[in-house]
Amino acid sequence: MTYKQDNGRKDIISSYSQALKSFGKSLPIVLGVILLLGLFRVFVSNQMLSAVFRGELLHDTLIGSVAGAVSAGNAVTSYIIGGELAKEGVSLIAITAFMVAWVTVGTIQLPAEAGMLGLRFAGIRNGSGFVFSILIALATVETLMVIQ
Amino acid sequence: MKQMPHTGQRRTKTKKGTSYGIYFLGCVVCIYLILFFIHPGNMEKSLKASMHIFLQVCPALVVVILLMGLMNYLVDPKTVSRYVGEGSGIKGWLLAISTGILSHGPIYAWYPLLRDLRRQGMKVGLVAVFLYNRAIKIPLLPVMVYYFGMPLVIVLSVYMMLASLVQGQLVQMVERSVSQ
Repeated sequence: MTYKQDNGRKDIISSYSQALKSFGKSLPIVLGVILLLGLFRVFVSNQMLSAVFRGELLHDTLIGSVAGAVSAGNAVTSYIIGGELAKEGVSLIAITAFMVAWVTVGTIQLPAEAGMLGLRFAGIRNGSGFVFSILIALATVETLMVIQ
Repeated sequence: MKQMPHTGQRRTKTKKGTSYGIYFLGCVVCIYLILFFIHPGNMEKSLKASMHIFLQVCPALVVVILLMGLMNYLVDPKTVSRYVGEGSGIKGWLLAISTGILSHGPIYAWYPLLRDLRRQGMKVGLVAVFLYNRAIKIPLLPVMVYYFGMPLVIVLSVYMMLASLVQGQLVQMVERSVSQ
């Protein structure tokens, strides 16, 4: 890797060529993840995700986290699904766990994360992210009950 | 010319990373090939969806490449170490939280930049903090407020920031204990 030098122009060109090279090495992983996301969009619908909740707090919270963890896509989608689940009477803890896991745990991106940042790092980060989604959901709803 | 030492170990790691990516992409392509034989319609739909995602992601990828180039130009291991390295202290944690919240685009677009920063000495715990805080998306919060109200959004965001710090410490601790 080339760092800051005195001869400005040549320096910045080599910095960008280095960046392109580095990114090029990551491109197969990025493309792989995008292709997986395409499969996810076609095979997993919002209705399928909503159908896994059955109105039991413990079950729904755990399932919410699992569903959020294996799902992928824009965070807004999780808010919309969460909003619909709330209308159907699913507990706020389960919905919060679902939304938090959706944005903090990436099962589909896991191979990419492991490939670029290390398997141990990706494992700990996503594993703890899953546990935290449940704890955060509990803490958030409990706090809301206290302050409201 | 000041250059980062290219050790044999780093070259092997990079090579390993590249072949891992090719194997990974190869596996996904195999899934598509299988799908082509059993359900060609769905394969086509999946490819179209992937193309749509790719086009959406393109601007973020360009931003990441621009940032990577800029980082290569402006930042040396000393600077990385000062702001997000082992001795960065509370400044490093705050920087990781704020940049995580402000960053845009899909999470996987940021992996190459973070990998480069790690190689330059960024604390592994701060990488985790950055990635966790990407979950707090300020432009998307109004949608969440619409569905769940302001109190939930504020409380949830605060807890998520705190959780990111716990996760950062956890990742840091495990990595440190393994490397010792």
